[in-house]
Amino acid sequence: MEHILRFELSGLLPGCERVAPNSARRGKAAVQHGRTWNRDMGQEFGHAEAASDEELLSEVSHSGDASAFALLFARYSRRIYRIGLKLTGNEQLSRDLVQETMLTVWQKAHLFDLDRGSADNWIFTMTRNRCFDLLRKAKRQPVCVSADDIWPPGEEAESVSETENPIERHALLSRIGGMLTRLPAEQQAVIKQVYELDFTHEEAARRLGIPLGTLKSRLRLGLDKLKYFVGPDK
Amino acid sequence: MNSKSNHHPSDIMLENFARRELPVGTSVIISAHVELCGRCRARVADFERREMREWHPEAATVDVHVPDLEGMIEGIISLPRQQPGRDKELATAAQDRFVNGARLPRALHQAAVNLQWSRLTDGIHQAKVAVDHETRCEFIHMAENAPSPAHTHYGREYTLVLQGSFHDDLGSYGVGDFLLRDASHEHQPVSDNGCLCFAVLDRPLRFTRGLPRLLNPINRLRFRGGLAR
Repeated sequence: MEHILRFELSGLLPGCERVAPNSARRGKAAVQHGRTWNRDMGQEFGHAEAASDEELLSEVSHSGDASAFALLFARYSRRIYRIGLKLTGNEQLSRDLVQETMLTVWQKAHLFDLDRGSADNWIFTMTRNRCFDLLRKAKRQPVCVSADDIWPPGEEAESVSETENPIERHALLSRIGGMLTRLPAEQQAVIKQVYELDFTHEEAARRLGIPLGTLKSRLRLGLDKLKYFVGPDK
Repeated sequence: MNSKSNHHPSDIMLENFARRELPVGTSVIISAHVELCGRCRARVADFERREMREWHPEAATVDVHVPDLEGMIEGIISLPRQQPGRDKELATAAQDRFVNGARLPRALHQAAVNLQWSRLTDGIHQAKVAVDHETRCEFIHMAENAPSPAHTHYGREYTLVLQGSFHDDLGSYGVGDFLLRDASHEHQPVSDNGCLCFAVLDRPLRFTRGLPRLLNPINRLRFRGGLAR
């Protein structure tokens, strides 16, 4: 049950970060293949801010669309930087990580395959792989085996629970999506903290600013309700 | 590609692998096992999902200062993209690499270029591959019933069976099996039908019986030499 929730939730709550437009830099232009790029080009070229990461990635892949790339950059660069800082503790390496990862996105978007997972996952794998390669380079280790060969991108393996009972799980998953939204907001919030973001009960309570007891009772209520929606165990 | 492996890396190793915290050589052999083993693939996927919580913007516990990064965009999009026809990747992917007739897991493809085989003892051949400075990696081929020298290890020896099978006093191992032997085991592997393995040592072997013992000091030197390279 717990695994089911966690994975269903990650589908429901795409982790994409919107960066507030920075007016000071608005209008800064770059030339690419005779075209001019600026921050607002996304809209000019018909990319709603609402375009999904997957759509943008496939635009980059099929037509080398600079505005789609710029939107992806806006959504991901800060997250990559932050992960880099956590993994390396070094600001310059973190900048390099953004550069290398977004370059991979630009050059190898065609390796991303829609059928095999989310853009979020793919870019995350690329971030970890580029970080591994960067650290190897920093330690002057040979780089004859690429991190992408060791941790191939784009292949989202099934979870342990999925391999145990794929068919039943799949059927259940497609039903749970709708069920979650029928829970009260505060119950959805605790389920998300615990099952999607994988925090311990203590961490989740602290993050939500509620007492541990409250968290546990909301969690129990929410899960009971979901179990009720799902029906009795077979 | 799934084989029924009975011997797997520990969960701690799989987690460290998912976190990209192991030396390259060790990562390569675990990756090769994971490609062959659905069970471990699922575990690694779960560990990676756990890693991903740091990736979610809402999960960031500390607000770090992020410098202005947009200046990079211009430089990146001025670089050529790889052809979306993905001819190159497809060609590489289709070009499965075989050693001794065994199809190799992807992580071993780069390592298996231009293998130089050398004879260790009768029926046992090895081909070293330089993957990093922290481990020693090699392909090992055991001919039918060739007795390999009994040995223990200064460090840990990880072995992945790629073709055939072998056994030692602790058990028998087939394709996809992943073994860890350390200084507490003395073992003498034998293969009944021939066997190809990939092995990673994080310290040199120490032979415990017979003539191969003469190799001990040499092995140690070689390993140090390898590290200093």
